[in-house]
Amino acid sequence: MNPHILFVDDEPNLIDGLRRMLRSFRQRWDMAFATSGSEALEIMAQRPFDVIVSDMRMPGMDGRQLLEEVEKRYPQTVRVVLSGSVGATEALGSLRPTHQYLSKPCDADTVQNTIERALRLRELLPQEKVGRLLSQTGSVPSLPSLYVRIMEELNSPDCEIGKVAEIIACDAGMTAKILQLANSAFFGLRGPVSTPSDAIFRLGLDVVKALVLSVQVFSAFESEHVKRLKLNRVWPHSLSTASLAQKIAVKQKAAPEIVDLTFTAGLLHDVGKLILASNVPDEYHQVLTRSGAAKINDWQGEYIAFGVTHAEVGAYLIGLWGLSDTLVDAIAHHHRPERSSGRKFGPLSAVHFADALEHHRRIEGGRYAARDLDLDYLAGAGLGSLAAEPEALVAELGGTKE
Amino acid sequence: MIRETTEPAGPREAARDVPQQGFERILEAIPEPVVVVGEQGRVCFANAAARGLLSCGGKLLDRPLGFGPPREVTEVCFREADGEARVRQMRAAETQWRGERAWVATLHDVTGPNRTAENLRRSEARQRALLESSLDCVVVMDAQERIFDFNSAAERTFGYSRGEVLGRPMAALLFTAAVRDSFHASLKRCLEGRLARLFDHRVEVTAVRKGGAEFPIEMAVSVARYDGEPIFTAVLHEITQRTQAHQKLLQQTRHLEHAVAALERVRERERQVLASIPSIFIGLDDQAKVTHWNPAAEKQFGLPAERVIGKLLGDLAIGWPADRINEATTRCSRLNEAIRLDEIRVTDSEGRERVVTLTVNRTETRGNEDGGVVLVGTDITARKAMEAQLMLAQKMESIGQLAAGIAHEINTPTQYVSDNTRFLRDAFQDFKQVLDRFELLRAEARQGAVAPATLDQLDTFLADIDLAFLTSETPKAIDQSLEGLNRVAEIVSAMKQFSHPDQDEPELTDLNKAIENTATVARNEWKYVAEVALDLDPELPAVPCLAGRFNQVILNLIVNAAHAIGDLVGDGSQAKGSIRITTRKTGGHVEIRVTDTGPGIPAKIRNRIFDPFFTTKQVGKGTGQGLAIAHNIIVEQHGGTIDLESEEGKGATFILRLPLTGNERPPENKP
Repeated sequence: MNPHILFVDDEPNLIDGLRRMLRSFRQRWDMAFATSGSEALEIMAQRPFDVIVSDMRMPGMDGRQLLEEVEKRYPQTVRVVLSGSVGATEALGSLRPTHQYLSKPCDADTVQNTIERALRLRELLPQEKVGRLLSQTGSVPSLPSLYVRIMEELNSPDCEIGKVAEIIACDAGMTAKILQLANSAFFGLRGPVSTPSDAIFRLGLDVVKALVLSVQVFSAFESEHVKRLKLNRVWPHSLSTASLAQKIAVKQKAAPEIVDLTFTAGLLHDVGKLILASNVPDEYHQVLTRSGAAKINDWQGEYIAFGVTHAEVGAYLIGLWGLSDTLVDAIAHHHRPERSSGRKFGPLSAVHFADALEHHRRIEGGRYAARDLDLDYLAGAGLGSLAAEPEALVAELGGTKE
Repeated sequence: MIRETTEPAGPREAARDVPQQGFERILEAIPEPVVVVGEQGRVCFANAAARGLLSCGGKLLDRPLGFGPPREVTEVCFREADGEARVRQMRAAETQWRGERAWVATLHDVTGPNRTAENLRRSEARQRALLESSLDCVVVMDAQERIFDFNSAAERTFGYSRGEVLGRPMAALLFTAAVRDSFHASLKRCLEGRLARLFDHRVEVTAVRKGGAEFPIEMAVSVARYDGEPIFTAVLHEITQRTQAHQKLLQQTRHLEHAVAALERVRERERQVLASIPSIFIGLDDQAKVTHWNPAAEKQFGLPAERVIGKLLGDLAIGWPADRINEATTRCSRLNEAIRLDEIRVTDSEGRERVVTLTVNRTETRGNEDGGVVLVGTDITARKAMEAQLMLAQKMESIGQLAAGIAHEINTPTQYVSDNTRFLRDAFQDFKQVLDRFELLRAEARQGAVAPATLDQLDTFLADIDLAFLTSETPKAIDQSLEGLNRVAEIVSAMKQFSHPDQDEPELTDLNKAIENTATVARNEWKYVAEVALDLDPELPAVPCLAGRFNQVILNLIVNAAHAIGDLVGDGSQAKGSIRITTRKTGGHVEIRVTDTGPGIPAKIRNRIFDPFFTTKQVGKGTGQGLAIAHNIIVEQHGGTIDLESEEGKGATFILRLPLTGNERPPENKP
């Protein structure tokens, strides 16, 4: 069955133009067109849509109202904005219910790539799972203490962009969101950014303030959830993994942009745990309890319960938010790198290695368990000798102190 | 100079002039009185007989005799040493006396004894009448201060009768003890031959009336000798009233001094005030001469006060439009009306051009028709600069807002023009394939046999490419692309028209066109909430106008209208509103009405909407300058009016009226 795509714009000429331009996809996509928000909702009520591409400024119901409604009614539908606005206020206002932001004029290839990429993500996460596990994807909640710190810093009259970057770089949820915004078509005209600090300097303090304080792109976990789901272990693990993975990448003489991506991949690799913890906290609690009792890894427990693991869930959202395929790949396959199509050294290799080392050091008292490392993959990626002496590597990189 | 006649001339003269001595001796021996009188009627010599006649202490000598230069025979009358007044016949002959021209005269008694007594009695009666007629008190006393005459004025003043006082000592009776002593001392000094102050001029003393009442009196005392005995005549004048008047005068003087001091303080205060005010203060008298010139004026014009005070204002070397100033001061003092000169350009002492507002007022002068005028000036250069900046800032704000809207307006057609173009490219590929197959078909047909397979393939291909869609969509794609390109061109052109460069002088402007352009560039501001209906009078005459400024006003009104309507329909629950713009010619004006269907403007804020910084919009939606600037542009810069009609809940109408003749306000009010 062909995927269903809905285009919404109040300008009939624009709809006609899209229809003509996308005519060549008529064999692959099942497309519908609407000239108002209410018409779009009527069409969606008749059949499910995989992707909705909507204008922002429309008379009556505007794009943001439409997408918020779509998020509520059809969470599995990927929401893309195609807007001609250049005002930051408007753009920021539309960011919350939006997975991806495209600016008019937008060439056909970009429209096509964005839609196809969104559709490909469903290979990671079957559509029916999205509605269940990812009903709320406007933000990934933060650790309450970090959330308080970032709010305090941004509200402070002496707010420093460096401090803001430092705090955000400690938190997977904030980092993911900031990277989404900085790489969106609205801000991302100067090429992709891959680290939280680059993203913040790209956006500028004023935009970050507006995003966090007015648009409220950040949120915090309830402290009860943090405790019950042992979420407080996720942050130090993510940071240590990011740091270790980055050092491995440096040691492997990776290109600077790969080193940056590696750090970010390490920071975000467990973001799926946070998504599950915030979207289905009770089920996730059961999963963790059962995994603990069965002495299996959490992700294995997740797979048994949900049919997917936090790796795919996290990668799906990161992909949906328009972050690079490299990141999506590294996050999606960090437990089972052999599933990736790539074999060369990259963020996936480093994160897979660092995650396993970090995890065992932390959870199992520093003992290395060979079963969690894909030695064949690592050897293929040029990490074979390091993988043979993981303890020595940790000692050499001195890396996982908190 | 006194010289006793009896004394011979000094030894030097005597030795030199022996015949003179002989002559004198001869004259001395003549029993008839003989005198020698000098040029001014002064007695130079009197023989023994004459001395007997004239012996009032020798004082007659060297003094005029009381008759003019002697003629040959004349009659003279005088009181002689025995106290009797006699008429004597004087025969005079010119001679030389000690080398000077003189007359020698004999005084022959022609008065009989009876006549002498009668004369004396008459003389005394005259003297008495004279004494009595005097309004002043006259008291005569001898060297022992004993009173021997006391006139009736003295009786009235002192309360004593003449009989009571005759023979009694004057000072003891009529003066207080203190006066008495100094009176004695003065008399004594006088008798000793030393001059006393008392007798030189009038003195004020305290006198005592009968009964003891003291009172102020002014006294002059003269001395005369009678048979060698001095007699004193005191003339006294009661000055009680005069003293009271004097006291009053003194008091008035003191008051006056206080008043003068107070006035000085006021002047000082005025000076300080004038020095401290930052405004220029120039005072002119009725001759237009400068009377005041405060430090602010000194600073502004670089002229110190001392160089301008007293000069004619018109003569001062000030870099300002002197004609206008002079005309204003003249008009002000003639018509007694305050005159305001709004923007005077003044070149200051450092050669910089400043903008000053001057008011010319007549000064209040009671009972004086020809008052001066004061000029009070304020340097508004900074304010003008700020106003200009504010206007520019507001324009930039509008343009910034517009830019976002225009980008949006352009992005949309760009999107579909590019989509259509891409479609046309793809469509052309399909058409080309159709043509290729057509060529194939034609070639086959030319050879006489079209293979059925070729036709089948063509049918499949045509179905595949949906030729019907292509043929129906291609012209539409071209039309819509052209439409989109026109749209972009229209916006760009309207923007170009809208951002008309700021001009200083009004130009005849087609307001309809200006309104159309502005509505076009602002399209993105209103199109989501309202329809704009333009009802423009095709016969509208061109109006002298600063087009860029006018556009700014229309833009502000459209944006305000759109925001107002947006507040009502923004949530999408209601149908779009409407903004209606009409133009009409009414009398000497062009009237522009901008009507919206927004919530209207509450009555209580209607009088504030043109105030700078007054805004009801949320932060970030506007600076609150829009209407204030619209007001400034229409009223100040175009001499027009801007009014509001609004009914709460039903919308608002802004009514602009621009004079067809341009701004007719006085030149000082032009921008």
